[in-house]
Amino acid sequence: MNLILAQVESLWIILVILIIVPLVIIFYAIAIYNGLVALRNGYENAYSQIDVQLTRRYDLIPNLVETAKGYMKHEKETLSAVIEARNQAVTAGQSAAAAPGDPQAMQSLMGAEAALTGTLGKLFALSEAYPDLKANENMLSLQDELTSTEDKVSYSREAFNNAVTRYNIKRESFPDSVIAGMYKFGPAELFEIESPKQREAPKVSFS
Amino acid sequence: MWSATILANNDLLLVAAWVVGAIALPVLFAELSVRARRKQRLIDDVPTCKTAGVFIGLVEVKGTAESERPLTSFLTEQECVHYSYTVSEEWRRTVTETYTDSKGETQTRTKIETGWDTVAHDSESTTFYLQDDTGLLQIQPTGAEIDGAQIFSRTCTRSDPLYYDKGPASSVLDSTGNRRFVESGIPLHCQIYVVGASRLRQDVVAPEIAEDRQAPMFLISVKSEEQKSRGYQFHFWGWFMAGLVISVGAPICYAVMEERPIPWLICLLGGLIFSSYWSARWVVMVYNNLLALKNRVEQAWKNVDVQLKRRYDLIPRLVEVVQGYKQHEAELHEHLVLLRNESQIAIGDAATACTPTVMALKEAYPDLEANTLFQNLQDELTRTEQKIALARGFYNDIVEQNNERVQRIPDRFFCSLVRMGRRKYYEAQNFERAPIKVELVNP
Repeated sequence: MNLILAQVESLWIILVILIIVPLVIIFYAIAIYNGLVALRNGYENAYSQIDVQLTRRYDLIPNLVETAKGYMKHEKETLSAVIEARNQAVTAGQSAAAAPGDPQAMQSLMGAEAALTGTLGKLFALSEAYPDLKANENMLSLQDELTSTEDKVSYSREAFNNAVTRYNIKRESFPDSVIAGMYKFGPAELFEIESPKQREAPKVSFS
Repeated sequence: MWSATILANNDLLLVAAWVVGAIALPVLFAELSVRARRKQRLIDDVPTCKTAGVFIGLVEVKGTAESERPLTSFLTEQECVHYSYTVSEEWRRTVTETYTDSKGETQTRTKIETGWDTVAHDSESTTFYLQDDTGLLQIQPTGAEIDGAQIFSRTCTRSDPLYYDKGPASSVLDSTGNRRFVESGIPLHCQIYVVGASRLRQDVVAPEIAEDRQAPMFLISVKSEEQKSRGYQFHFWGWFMAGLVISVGAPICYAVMEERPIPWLICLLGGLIFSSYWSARWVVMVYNNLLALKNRVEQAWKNVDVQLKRRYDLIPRLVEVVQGYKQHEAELHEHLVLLRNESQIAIGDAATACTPTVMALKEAYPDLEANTLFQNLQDELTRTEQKIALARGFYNDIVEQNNERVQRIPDRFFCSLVRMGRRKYYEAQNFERAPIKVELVNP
């Protein structure tokens, strides 16, 4: 009786092992598969994050450059206008001095001076409204933005390389490589410069 | 029927004991041993990075812990970036227990038990910076394995003001009136060692080290890399020996307790099973570790490309900005000089009315200089080249580790398996080795 019961007991144990062991293996395999899927999606997302930064650069930088250019133009034009008005005032002043009492000459002098005051006012309004915002400052912030944009792009490329490395390590590791081979998780490529010429240092020259 | 059930239950218990003693514990110890080795190999493999050269990925940095708003530790009230303290209280009580003596009779005896109960404990950490000779790197310690230095340890009685100042007013059952105050942490300006995954910060364009569940390690330690490595090595051998002793010793213990002859064959078998499981895990660990190293070398090499591409894209644009402004400034200067000169020439009474306004122009444009832009360009050129140099330096460091593994025993036997070979260090081209001439005067 005892013997039979003991045998039933051991049969149970064998049965439990026979069910539990494959179950554990199946769940482990599913976990590996899901991990591989997550990492593959991770590097695909990281790749698209580079694109996000490149699009940002494409959209932002030309506009910033245009803004800086526009401001430089405005600054230059305002100064030209001042000079123009100044020259007119000088001419009008000279003709008024040559013929004192000529109402027409006096009137044109008044007009020229009013114009000069107007343009000067514009110039001062410009520098008063934006005391720090001269073309100089504009260009400085353009430089800073260029730098931080390229920083963002390069960090996103590094993040992509990191995601690819993680994925590649997982798909080649044992036992993950078994599942990766069964479900065709192929290797992923790291970021690489397309043309070797871009590896060379750019020449800075101001001639 | 009753006895049968009891026997079956005993059998089950025996099986359970056997599963735990002969399989679970040795497996656990083998696992712990191999894991310690894996950690050791990981920190040996990952080269130290300067904070200015930190890339996105698994990095290792060394420096001092700095913070603008440091924490004040609870017990010692010193400035730190992380602290944890424990207050424990001693108790002593007399217990009566019943037991069955060797003659099978039930006896009672009293004995005195003592122990320590934790009555208060807490820990706190704050985001801080790691500073080295190239700059600062933000570290978010949440989720990290923090290895602090012991900054305080004292046992005191109720007469000590510390007893109630820093401990709770209540007391444990059968308290002896002894409390132990222990505090550990990372003091401000303390030399630390950090291994972890970096990511881009949310607030500024700079990397930070923070928790990443997929990263193989996130460690903040006041110990040096060598100390940590030796510690892991000690764990590796310690758990291995413990596993071996358990798997060989368990049958001996069982035999001695049951007063049976020692089953040497089973001991040998136990030892063999343990060592073969351990060896299999070790082989897989070394294989995976070498594979990871191979991939990280590749990553380091391609990260140099990232920096080169950055330089290629950035520097010409910065130069164009400076050039564009230089031209603008030259034209602007012409106009201004013209105006300023005119203001000094007497040109009739009427026009001199304008002179004060024209004079004021000087104040409106006091510092018309491309100087700052050039300065900015110079700084950025330097930073760019430093980033490239650091990326190349990191590549060289990891190649050194790669080549060492490729040549070392036993790793060299695995290298053909993971298709890993010696790699070349970064090499400068010959023209780059020549001394640089600085020619500021045009010929």
